[in-house]
Order: sequence, then C-alpha cells, then structure tokens
Amino acid sequence: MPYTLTVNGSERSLESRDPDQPLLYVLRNALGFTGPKFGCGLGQCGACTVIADGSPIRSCQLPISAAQGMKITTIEGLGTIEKPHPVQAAFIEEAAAQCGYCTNGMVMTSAALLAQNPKPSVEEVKQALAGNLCRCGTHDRVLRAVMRASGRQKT
Amino acid sequence: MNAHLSRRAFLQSTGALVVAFGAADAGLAQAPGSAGAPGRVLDPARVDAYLALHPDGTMTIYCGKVDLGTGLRIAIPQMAAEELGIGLEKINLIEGDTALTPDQGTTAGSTGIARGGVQIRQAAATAREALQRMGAERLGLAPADVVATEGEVRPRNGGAGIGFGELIGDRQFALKLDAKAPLRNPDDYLLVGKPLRRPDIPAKVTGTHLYVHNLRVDGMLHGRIVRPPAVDAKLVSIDESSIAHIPGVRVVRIENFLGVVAEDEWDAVRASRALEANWETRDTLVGDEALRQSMQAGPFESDEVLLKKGDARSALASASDRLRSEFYWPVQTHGSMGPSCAVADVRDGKATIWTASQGTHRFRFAFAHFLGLPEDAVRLIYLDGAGCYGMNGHDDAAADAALMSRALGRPVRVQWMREDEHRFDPKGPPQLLALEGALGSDGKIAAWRTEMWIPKATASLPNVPLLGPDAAGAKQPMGISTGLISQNASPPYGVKNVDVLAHWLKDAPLRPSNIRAPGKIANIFAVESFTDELAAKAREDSLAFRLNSLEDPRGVEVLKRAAALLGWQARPSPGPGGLGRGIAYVHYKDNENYVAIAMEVEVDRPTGAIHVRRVACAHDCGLMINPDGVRSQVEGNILQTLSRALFEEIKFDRKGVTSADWASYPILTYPDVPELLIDLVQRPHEPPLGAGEASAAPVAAALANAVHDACGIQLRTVPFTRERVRTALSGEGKSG
Amino acid sequence: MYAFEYVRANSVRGAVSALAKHEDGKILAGGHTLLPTMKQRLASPSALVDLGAIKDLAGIEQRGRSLIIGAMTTHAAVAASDVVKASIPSLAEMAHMIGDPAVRNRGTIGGSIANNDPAADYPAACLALNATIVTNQRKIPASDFFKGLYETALEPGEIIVRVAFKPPSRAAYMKFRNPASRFALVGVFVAKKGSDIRVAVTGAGNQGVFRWRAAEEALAKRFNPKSLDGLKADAGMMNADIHASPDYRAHLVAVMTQRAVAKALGK
Repeated sequence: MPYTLTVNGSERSLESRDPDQPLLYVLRNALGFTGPKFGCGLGQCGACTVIADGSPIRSCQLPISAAQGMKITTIEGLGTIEKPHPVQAAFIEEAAAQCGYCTNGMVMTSAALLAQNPKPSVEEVKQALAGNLCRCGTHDRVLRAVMRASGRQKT
Repeated sequence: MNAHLSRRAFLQSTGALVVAFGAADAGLAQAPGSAGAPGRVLDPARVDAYLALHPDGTMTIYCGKVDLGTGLRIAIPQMAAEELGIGLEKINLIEGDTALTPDQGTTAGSTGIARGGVQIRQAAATAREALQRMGAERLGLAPADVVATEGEVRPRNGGAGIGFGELIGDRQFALKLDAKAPLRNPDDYLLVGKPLRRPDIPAKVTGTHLYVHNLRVDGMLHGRIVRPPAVDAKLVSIDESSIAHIPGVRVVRIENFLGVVAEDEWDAVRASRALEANWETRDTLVGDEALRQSMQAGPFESDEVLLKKGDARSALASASDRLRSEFYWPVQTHGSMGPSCAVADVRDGKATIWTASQGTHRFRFAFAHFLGLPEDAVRLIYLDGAGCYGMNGHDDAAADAALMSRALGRPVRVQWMREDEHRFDPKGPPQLLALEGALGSDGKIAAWRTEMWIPKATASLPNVPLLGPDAAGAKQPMGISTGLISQNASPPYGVKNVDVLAHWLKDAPLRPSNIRAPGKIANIFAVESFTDELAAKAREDSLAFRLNSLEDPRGVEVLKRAAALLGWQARPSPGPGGLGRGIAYVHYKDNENYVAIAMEVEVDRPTGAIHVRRVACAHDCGLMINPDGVRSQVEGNILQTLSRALFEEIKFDRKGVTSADWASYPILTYPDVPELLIDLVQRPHEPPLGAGEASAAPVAAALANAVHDACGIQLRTVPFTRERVRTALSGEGKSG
Repeated sequence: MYAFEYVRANSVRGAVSALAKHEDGKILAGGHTLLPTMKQRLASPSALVDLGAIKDLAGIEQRGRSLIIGAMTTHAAVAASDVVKASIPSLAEMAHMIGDPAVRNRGTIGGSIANNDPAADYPAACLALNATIVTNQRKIPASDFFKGLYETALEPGEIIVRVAFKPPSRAAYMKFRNPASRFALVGVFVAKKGSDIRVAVTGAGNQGVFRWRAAEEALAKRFNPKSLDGLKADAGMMNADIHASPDYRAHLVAVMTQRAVAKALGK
C-alpha cells in the first residue's frame, strides 16, 4: 500500500506491506532518518521519540497508517551540527551524552517540553523525562543541559 | 575541535552509512579478509603499529582500544598529541579494526587509558625522539638543541623549524617501541589535563552519529533470530507456512539455530514473530528464588585462599563478641539501551564483521574457529553500539550475523529485539559473601574473615560460549569470563588478622560474564557495609572509624573530601531519624584508584521507598588526561550502580529469564536522580588510571550505610526494593 | 506480528459497521496498550479499527453540572484543560500522572477505560467519581462498567463516545508507581460528595479496579486519614506478580488511601 508522510517539512511517499509497520522502521529504513533509535519496541524506553504535531510520541508504537496526516519532526529535522536547536546546543555545551544511543529521546522530549513550558523547574524536567531511560548515567548532564537551554542553571 | 580530522567525522556527516564495495574509504570498504591493510604494521611492539605520520603533517592513531561512549576518542589523541608535540586538529583516530589496529587487549577493566593510552603515549615519545634526531640532523644541531612542538622540530633557541610531515616524508618510523623513551614533564603539559570536548558529541546530539545499528551494506539482508523459549532447547520442527503471508522471507536453520532474513527489516521482525517453531525444552536452571541457597551447595571447582594475615580464626574464636553477616548480589543484565546489532559479510572464504565488540582482536580467533576460516581471513571492525559495561550481547549478535551471512552468501544485519537482550545477553554473575569480624579492646577491627561463593572465571579460555555457534553445533573455545571478581574482599584498615577465602563455583546460571567493575561492587558492598556494622557496634562515627585505621594518605584525602562535600556530621549510626548519611571507600583492586562516596538518603517508612537526595564522590585516579571525561565516567558509575542496587535483579525460572523488558526489570529513571557532588583529585605526577569502574564500587555500600543511618535497618540483599525495605522495617531489629 | 486488516474510521457509525464485518475486530484508540499486547501475541484481532480520524470524539466541556470528556481525548489534553482543572482538579492531576509525555499525547480516556488494564489509572477515577460511560448505544454507570481483568460491560460493536463526571466536593488520587513502567503498583482515588464517599483502588486487586468498602465506611464516620488507622485491605484480594507480593500491595492500599484522604483535605 502507498503512504504519504510529512517528515521534517517535506512530503515523502513510500510503500508498506503492513499498515501496522511502526513509524520507526519507516523512518530508519525507507526514509533514512536513523536519528530515532530502536530501543525496546514496547514504548518503554523513549529512544525512538519523534515529535508529531508538536508533541513527543514513541515512533515504535505509531503505525504508519496512523502517522499519515501528522507533521513529523525527527532529530535530524530539529537542528544540525552547524545550526543546532537550542536544546541540541545545550547538550553539546554540557557534553550530555556517553554512548548517545538514548540521546535522541532526551533531546526530542526536552525540545517538546521547552516549546510548551519554556521555564520548567528541574522537577518538571525530571517528570517530563521520566519515561526516557538512560543506562550510561548521563541524567545529571541532561538535566543541566535542559536547564541551560531554558536560560536557567541547574541548582 | 571543529577541524578535528577523522574518518569518523567524515562518516558522521551521514549517520546512516551505506557502504558500497569498491568505494574509496579504506577503513570500511577494503576487500574483506585481508589480515592487515597493505603496509600496516600490527605488531604491538612497533611504533608504526600505533602511529602513522603523513607527508602533509597530519597523523593517524591506530588504537586497539575503543571508545564506548567513555571519551577515549579525545583522551587518546590528547595523550599522543601532547607527547609528540602536534596539534589535535591534525590527528585522525582509528579504533578497534583488526586489519588496521594493533591488538592492545579488550577494552575492559578500565584499561583504555591506563594501558592502551599509555602504550600509545610511549609510541609517541619514541616517535618524538626519532623526529628530533632527524630534525636536528637537518638543522645541523645536536638533538638536545631542538624541540618538537606544534608539528615541527625547532631549534631550542628559536628560528625556523621543519614540519614533521616533511621530516618523515612517505617513510615509516621503522622503530621498536622504546619503553625508556623519555616522557614530557607533566608541568609542561598543554593538552593533557584539560577538559577538551569529545568529538563525537555534536553528531550524537543531532542524530547523525554512525552506530553499527545504522550501517547499511550493499546487498544486505535484515535478519532476526528466533530464540527458543528455554535455554538449551532443541529445535524439533518448524512450520514455514506460518510465514507464507510475508513474501520474500527466508529461514536459516542450522541445528538449533533459527533465524529469518528479509529485504525489509519490518518483514524480518514480523516473520520472526510469526514463525511457528516446536522446541523441546528442559528445566535446566535453578531459578532466581533458589539460586542463593544453591550457591553454598556447589558443585565447586576449587577453594582458594586469597589472603591470609595473622590468625583470624583464633582471633575470632577468642573474641567475646563477634559479628557475622551475609551479603548477596543477584544476577543482573548489562541492560544496554540498544539491543545488540552487527553486520557480517561472509563469503568467498573471507569474513568482514562490523561489530560493537569490546574485543575485536580477541574475538577474531573465536570467529575464525566457528566459521572454519583461517584467522587472517577474518576482519572485525569496531563501530559504536549502545553502551555496554562488559561483554553484553554484541559479540553474540555478530556471531548470529556471521552464521546467517555464511549460510546465504550475502551480507546480513542482525539486530536483537528487546526481549533477546534481556533474556540472552551474558549476565553479571551472582555473588554471596559471609563476613565475620570482631573488635579489639582499642575499638578497632581486630579480626576479619571473608568467605565468598562465586562462579569461576576461566581466564585462560578466550570467550564465553557464543549463543549462535553454540546452537548451530559449531566448535568454539568455551570459557567463562566474569572478570577479576574476587578482588577488594578485605578491609583496607590495617587489620592484623584477616582471612579471605573463595569457593569457586563451577558455573553460574545464564552465561556469567563480566559486568562493570566485575565483582568489586558486591565485594565492597559487603566489606564496607560490614565495616559500618562494626563501627556501629563500637558506637563510633563511621568516618572516624575508618580514618582511625587508614594509613594511606591518598585514601585519607578522598574520605575527608567526600565527607566535606556532603557536610558530614560526626555521630554514631543509626542517627535520630529523618535524613540518613553513609560513607564507603575503596582502594580499587588494592592498587589503583582511591574513591570515597558519601550519600544522603530519606526513607519513606510506610512504603519502604528510598529517596537518594545527594551523592558526594571524591575520586583520585592519578593523572587525569581529560577531567570532564573522568567526571562523566564518575557520574555514570554512581547513577548506574544506584540503579543496580535499588532496582535490579534478573528473574528466571527453571527454563529461562522471565524479566524480559524494562517493566519487569526496572532501572533508574529521572525522578530518582539525586544531586551529584563530585570532587576530582588531579595528580599530574602519578600514572594515569582508568575511571570507568572504580567509583562504582563504593556506591551500594554507601547507600546501605545511609539507609541504616536513616532508619536502623541494615540491607544486605540487593536490590533494595521498596518491598524488601518495608519488610525489614516492619520486623525492625531483623534486617533485609 | 500476523496479518490483520486496518480500518481508519471517519465516523462512529463507520467504525461500528467495520467492527460488524470482523468478528474479532478491535478498536485502536491511542494504541498504547493494544499494540504492545498484539506484539506479544496476547491479542490477535482480525481487524483494527482506528478511531483517530473521528474528530468529534475528542473534546472537553462543562455541561451544567457535568464534566464531559470525549472518548478520544488524550491524557495530555485532560491534564492541561482549564475546564477540568476548574471542575475536578484531581482528575487533571491524575491524568498528568499517567505514563510520560509521549504516552499522555497518544493515550486516550476511552482507550484506557475500554481496555480496563488492572494497573491503569482512569478506571479508579471513574469508579470513585461515579462517572457515566456513554456509548453509541447506552449510558453505563461506572459501577456496572468494570467487570474484572480487562473485562468491561461493552458489547460487541459498542463504542465509548464520552465519559460524564459529576464534580465531587473533595477528591484526590495517590499513586505508588512501578518504578519503570509508571503504571500503578497501587493507585487510590478517593472522592467525597456529600455523605457519599468512594475509595477506588487500581493496580492492586487480582480482579482489577475495586472499591474498598471498609475504608469507605470508616471514612463515612469521619473523613480523616486517622479514621483508617489500623485498617488493612484484604491480602486475599490482591494481585501477586513480579513487582510486588499481595501482602505488600494490601499494605500499600492502606497507606495510599490515607495519603489520598489527607491530600483531599488539602493536608
């Protein structure tokens, strides 16, 4: 079946045999956006987070058929090394990644949070990121980065 | 760092790399199977194995150790550039490619800097001597009258120099690594000791960093493994009609190895789930509930006296009042965020495997063995994976991909699913310790005995059995690699009578493997908790109790600094209630880092929930190459080990793991993150040590001691789940 | 997974007729429960009917004394709604406690209630607030709606259209989370409307959400946490799983109920 998706501002057409194919696989393979990562496929870890119509969603849980008509932004569409989004710039400034596999989810969830709540408290940031798992233990740096992006300092 | 030249930086411009064979980049597209690229020297005793200076003045470092998100990618160039006298922007780093880099041992045991970096630094020092000789000759000066700096050899008294590139031309150094080549004086360091930025962060933060998960090779198929419902299961039959509705899927079956491949990744996922397979299963495991008991029953490989000082038995027997406690650490998973992944191309008698392995060189032997190829026909190339903290599933996934590629004659990418990782990654082994101790009339520890029950590591064998080859009936050298898990099992407090005895178990369930700071976290949990039990018995403040008996000044310093960071108030434990504080100390492996961790917690008595408020760490790893890299590792050690101590235990029944996702195996989340206070001691004239492990060791003990201080219960079984704490509190006096 | 048909409905009527065609069809609302369940092969519907395109199923309004929430309204919308905050603030707070932002942006009240996961939050809110679940066929009081684990009073072809709540005088929700999934290990919604006091418990019961009558009776005498001192929930009714034992859950039910009452009193 043919599908048309709007990703990072452009319309992309593709085929999928399965209407339930999660958006994540479509992004990573047919569309070549490998920023979102496969972490669990169960909506538990957040590594696959993208922004759909302004809100963070788990792309491993969204069927391609339901993704049609949404405006999807991946981390590649958020900013680039040359022109990073303020959240990305703050992550770079705080060196807020180790292995970096979960970083996509941290960046996307934080960017969506700041769009809705530009001056969150540290506690609000922690709650917003509660569903984003990190194994390397970069949490404190990520919190510092999000606070930096909001124009405040952590603690 | 913008101009940092690197193959990686180039590759990172497109996070999804498509490799076309015949493309120009030698690092990735070289014909599979060559043992070494033309002209590459791989002998670790030679300078050219590590360093290649190019006529244009740039330099390539070939590093056998790899960056696992740990910062080696900046620290190693810092060490080499400093020693040679060249700008970092001229340096390109290649990591962990068996065809290009020397074998520097696995990236494990926190040895990346301490061994790998130090080796490369020595190669750079040797190279600098050679360049200075060449330059002096060209300048008509004595070698003592020239300096190597900014990529040039210059007259010491000023004047024009000659570039390294011009000096070396297209030659190699052709030198043995000189262990005596003089090193620069740390007082003159320009790069080492600075918190320079890691070159991989911008790409990681913008989604363009290359992971092995993103690699796409021409003609590549996507594979998924169909794992059995139980460990050691036999595949009886499969019904391929169950996947007939997914076109283009192929099944790979080799004895008990079962996988599917498809052009489209989602088709492979669907097929792996839909494929009907009949397995014959057996109840071979002991199960998590009976595991602890079973460890004292054996079977044992051997008993080993690890330490015998004075006469602990008699001293304990004659003591009027002695304590005995048991401590247990459960089976845990590495819990990598990304399920393991690899790409393999095995055909025409050659194999190329792109893998996130911590030991590409070490596993080349194993891969050659089960693929039936000569070792020099097998090439393993490191690409970043999701963080691993010891041998996780990466090597298994690489073997899976290699088996399927060999069967199909096409490149195959295998990615595990989440349940594969939780169920089948090799696990951190269980540890059981029984400690006995008694105080002397001076209030210090007079006698101490540690007995431990731990699975044997067979260090002489190259690897734990890889799942795929094992299921496929392929021969492989099988060992157990749990790391050095018996270290740090005695108190560092000058006790005169000490026995440490290990009962080595023949095996442990679920393929035991090495996991961060192997064994030391559990051992220090036991030793430092028990030290607090003795301090409490002496009605002495825990910090003072330690300082009274600790002589090593570097140890004393970290303890005092950590306590000061937290605002330690001296008093015996338990305290009056409310906030509790605890402290723990390690001299890592008795001869490496000095670390003290002090912690402040609150315990919600009605529910048993532990809230960690603040964690203070003072850390001395000798010379720090990159203090921000060290800080990052210390933060990670603290948070990951808090997670392991508070939440983590692999549950398994008689057939296999039952905690196969993040809901049944919870880890630390953001709301649990405490305030971190970190004090790093810089010691420019001491050797550099690793930072990837040591600060993990005291975390669980500091936590347990803080909980005891807060509410009077001593937790001796990990994880400190809320239910376990609540149960201990409801039967106060007893303990968890 | 396996083969099934996907139908994107444009109206409730269209959805009903799609469901009629497929004996084993299921409704896809936010997809946060059903899809993982299907992937684990715990459910295998022959068709998925997606309600995401039916615009008039989402929305929040105050109609007289009733707070009306459309079935496809997301948790995030409920949590952020000034109408909900003014009418039943504890309900907005509860919605904010569900999952994380990604879950709240996709998950819907209708999906949560129809699924009746024993650890979901909304069933406790509906039961405690005595909500009315309005379907395309009838109105069902919450007390008749939840029938056990994943079981509800919904008939085949019946679709939840909206949920109507009557604001209580005092209410609060306290949740003790599974540390990872953020589902309720125990969640207690306490509501007081005149002399009518309801204590609804989710996460703990081996038959899903339930009302803790003994606590309601004790609170009827005096609406104060102290009224519950010494009261214990029946461990025999509690769920046992990898996350917690029945005894611990029973203990937590009492603790969380006391805390919810204190919160409802503004303590």
